[in-house]
Amino acid sequence: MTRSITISNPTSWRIDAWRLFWICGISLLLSACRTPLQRSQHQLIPGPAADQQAAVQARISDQDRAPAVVSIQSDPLPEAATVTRTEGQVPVRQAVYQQPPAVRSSTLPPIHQTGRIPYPDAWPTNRPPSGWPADEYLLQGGDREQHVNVGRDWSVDNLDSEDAVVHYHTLEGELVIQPTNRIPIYAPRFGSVRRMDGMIQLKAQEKLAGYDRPTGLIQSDRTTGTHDLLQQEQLQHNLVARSTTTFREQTQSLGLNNRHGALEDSGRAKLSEGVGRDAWVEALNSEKPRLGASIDRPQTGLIKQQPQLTQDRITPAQKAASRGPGSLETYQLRDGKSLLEITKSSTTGAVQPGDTITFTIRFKNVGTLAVGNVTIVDHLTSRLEYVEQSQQSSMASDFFAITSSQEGSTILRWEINEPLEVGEGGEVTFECLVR
Amino acid sequence: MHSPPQLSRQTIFPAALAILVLATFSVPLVAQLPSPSRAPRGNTWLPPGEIGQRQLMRSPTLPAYFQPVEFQLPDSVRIAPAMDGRFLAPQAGPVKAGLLIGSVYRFRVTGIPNHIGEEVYPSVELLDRLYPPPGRATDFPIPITLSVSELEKALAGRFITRVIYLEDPRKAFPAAQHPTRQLTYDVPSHTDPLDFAQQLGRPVAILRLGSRMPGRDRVSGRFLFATPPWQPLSSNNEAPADAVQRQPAIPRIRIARPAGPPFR
Repeated sequence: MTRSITISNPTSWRIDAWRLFWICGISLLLSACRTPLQRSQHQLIPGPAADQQAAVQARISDQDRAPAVVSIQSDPLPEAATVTRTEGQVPVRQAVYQQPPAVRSSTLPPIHQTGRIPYPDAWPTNRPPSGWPADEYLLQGGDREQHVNVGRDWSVDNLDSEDAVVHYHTLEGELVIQPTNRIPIYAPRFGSVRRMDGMIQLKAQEKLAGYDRPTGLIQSDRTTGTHDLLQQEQLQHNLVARSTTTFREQTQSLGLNNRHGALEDSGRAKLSEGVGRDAWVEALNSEKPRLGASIDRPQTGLIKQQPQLTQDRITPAQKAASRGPGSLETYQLRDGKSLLEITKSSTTGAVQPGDTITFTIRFKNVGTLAVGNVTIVDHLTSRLEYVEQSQQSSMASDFFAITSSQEGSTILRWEINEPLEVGEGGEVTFECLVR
Repeated sequence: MHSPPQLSRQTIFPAALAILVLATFSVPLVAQLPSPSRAPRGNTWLPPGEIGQRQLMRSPTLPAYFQPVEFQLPDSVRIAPAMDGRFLAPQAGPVKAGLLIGSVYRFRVTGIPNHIGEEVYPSVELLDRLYPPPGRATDFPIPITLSVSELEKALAGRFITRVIYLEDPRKAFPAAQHPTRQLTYDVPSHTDPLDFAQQLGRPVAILRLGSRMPGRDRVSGRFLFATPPWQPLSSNNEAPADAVQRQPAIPRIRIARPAGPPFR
């Protein structure tokens, strides 16, 4: 019995080779897309900082959108013609969460909004690869994580730390919850974790480091002889050279010379005033800011001449200005609606532990109808301690300060007594000690 | 009629084997890419500088940045930084300096209460930097606090490894801190403080404090870690402070001349 051997077609073998090549390439590409999980192997406390930072950035990107049109659901109740504070009798409806208005000035720390170069002048100012470090800032205001909800008994649920909201009733009997803007405050605080080792552990650590492993006395004993003396002379010659030490000294002195030289050096500058405007003159560096100020004058005048945007049926315009750049928010309203504007600000954007910071919450009825039962709730973060008797309100209100035993934070609550008429507003201020 | 080519068993088997081999080796290659996470890798049992050097390779903003550091000392304690292979004049706290990330700096601490003439030589290794508002970097340095109790324990032969971390504000301890003290957690000897500090925040520095005395390493510079460059800082971001001298202060004995002839 004979077995026939079939020789495959060389053309088909070449096609199979191409298939093999493409399969290998695609599989390599797919395998390369597998990124290892970046987590600590010894996770003791749930919720790593990286995840929270990513969550903060995700919320910031959400708030960075263009200002959205705020609309209030209209479902009138005939029996709710007037709004008065009568607890338990006011027709309370299910809370309608309003999206927070986009406030660009508060979504990013000041370091990325200004074009200035931080300390020192010539050092790199690159942003960290994973966005701005949220762990160096205290965020105040807004509504993070779960949305705040107000029950029929005026209880506030899902009020996380850092949250600051206002809730009020419209003439239609609708309960509206509106968060404030979010302000970052640079206030890093440090701690430490310490381990103490005895002498036994210290010796073990040095052995593991293996610094002195190449140096062995046994090796020297083996080569003890006439040639050993020549070897020692060569080592003494190396001691005299000290080439590495000399190189380090030159490197350091270069950097210091450059730093001092820039302060006293002079350069060529072009005059912008006077007769010889097109002439280059030799001027000291200390005179350059004065020359530069005269050059900048026309540019400043152009900025002032920028027209303000106006548009029909867009009222009102609010400009939130504090230390950082402000933002212009526009709300497009239908006729006969209620809307409250609330803004939170602080006296400073960078504090040290032990400093006192003053917060101001401003509110104003920017709608076309009166609102009532205006209540401001601010949940301070655990790093802020409310200073007793420091709150002030421009309107008659009832104030409550409750310390949360679970998180060690304080919840502040203002209940404005009278309804807010159209265009009416006020502010509450309070001081906090930075822990 | 030309029929499409069919894959034979002799072709499928090498292809599957090649796919398996490539998929096996490609995952370790990807794992060696720089990680976007900023948590330091390693442990405190590694030699000084090892973790900092790994950090430098992972972030483009860390090299060549002098991170301000402030040493907070007890009243009588003095600290002396090293430059050009020798220690400078001792200074009273608080002392500010800009240190490079990834480098290890050796300091000499003297004036320990009830231990006249005794010295300890702590080392500081920076792992990460801060990103303060423009122009406020020197106002927010990394505080490194040395207490008398720690210095005494180091003199008694204990080796202290302290990891300073930036506290996560949402995991912060809800209590005020003393201005000159630092909230410190003690962990047992078999626990890595770097690992524990990562759970509480972002590790930024490692302080190693022991009773090791300097050896004769003028050539290798091993004890001083080759004296990496640092930037002296004053309290208000001005020129280098006058207190930092390039030459150590050498005490000299002055012999007063007698007012008159000693003998008449």
